[in-house]
Amino acid sequence: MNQPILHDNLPLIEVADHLTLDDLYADPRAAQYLLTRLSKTVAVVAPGQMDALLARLRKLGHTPKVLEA
Amino acid sequence: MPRQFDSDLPRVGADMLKPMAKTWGGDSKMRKDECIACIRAGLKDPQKVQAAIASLQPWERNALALIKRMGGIIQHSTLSTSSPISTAPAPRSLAFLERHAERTQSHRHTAQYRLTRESIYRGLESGTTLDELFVRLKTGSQTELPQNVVVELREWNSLRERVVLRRRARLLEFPSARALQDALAQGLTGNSIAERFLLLAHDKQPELQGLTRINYAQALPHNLNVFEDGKIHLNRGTRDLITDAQLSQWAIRLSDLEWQLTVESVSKVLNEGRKIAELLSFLEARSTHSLPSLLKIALRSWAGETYQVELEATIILRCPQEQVFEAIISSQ
Repeated sequence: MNQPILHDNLPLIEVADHLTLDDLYADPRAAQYLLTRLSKTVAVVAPGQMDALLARLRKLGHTPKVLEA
Repeated sequence: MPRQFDSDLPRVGADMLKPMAKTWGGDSKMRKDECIACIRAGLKDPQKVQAAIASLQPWERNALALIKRMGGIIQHSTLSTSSPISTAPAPRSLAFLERHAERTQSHRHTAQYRLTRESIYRGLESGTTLDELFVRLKTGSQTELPQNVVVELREWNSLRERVVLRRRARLLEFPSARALQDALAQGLTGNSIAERFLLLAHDKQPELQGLTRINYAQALPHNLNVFEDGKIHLNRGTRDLITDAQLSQWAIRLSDLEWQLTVESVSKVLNEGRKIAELLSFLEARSTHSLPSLLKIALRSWAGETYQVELEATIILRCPQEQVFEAIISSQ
């Protein structure tokens, strides 16, 4: 890869603390919606699975801020 | 519709009218109709109204101010309200409370709400900012917001900021961290969220030469060769950010471009509660050809579906001499 790539309409999750993302990857029911981990605190969410991940996060006690972009 | 005070006077008893008439210069010897006439005449005289207001006791002024603020009416000489007793009775305020608090009790004139983490989260998700929330609560409150409430609201807001989901992010991937830094130095703007990744504003179209675009709102290309033995080969074009991870969830990675589905790798995912239909659907959506039938049966079988296969002995008539064989098959 020598040129930049524009990833458009990509579902993402960002967390303030990497331990939160570690915990989510360790939770099989949340991990199924998490794909590539771009950094300690950012991961790609499986397309079409954002609402399912949101529901799982709510069940785990999180109150995520949901943004369109 | 609020009624006029003086229209209600005939319904008020004489014993109550007499002291009221005194405010307007009347005396206790007046009959009821004279009291009413005196009061009505006083109400029409601005000087007498001023004098009457000046003679009100502080508690009387306070009561009138409250009634006015609540849109109250006077009925049968009794001050009463026809709107909810609340410091925020306007429909907008009620809608605000419904959106940001949980109603715990509701009576004819009163309603009780409770601020909870859940209700505040719902309100913030509906677009209210924390500052707006404070302003609205302070405006509708007779007293200062308790400090513990302020602290709790800030805490709930901060917890919401700790996990952010972006439904349709626009992300620019650079070949290296250095390339990203160079682009930023040249004036590209965005939020650097990982070593090689820049989060762009959604309306921002980067002007970079040789830019490749992958749109995740559309189907990704058919670039998987799936074989009968469970081997999967990825014909990599532009490297997207999901395919490798999706394959690695279900199969063992053999090399940069090859994965192997095994009983163990698939069963592990199924044991976590997922369905084999997900895998089949993913492979069918991304495969260059239709999936090998034997692999489909194997995958379903690993998921617990049962198929019957039987061995059976077969009797074969062998004819070493061809003329005998021909005679048999041509026989009527």
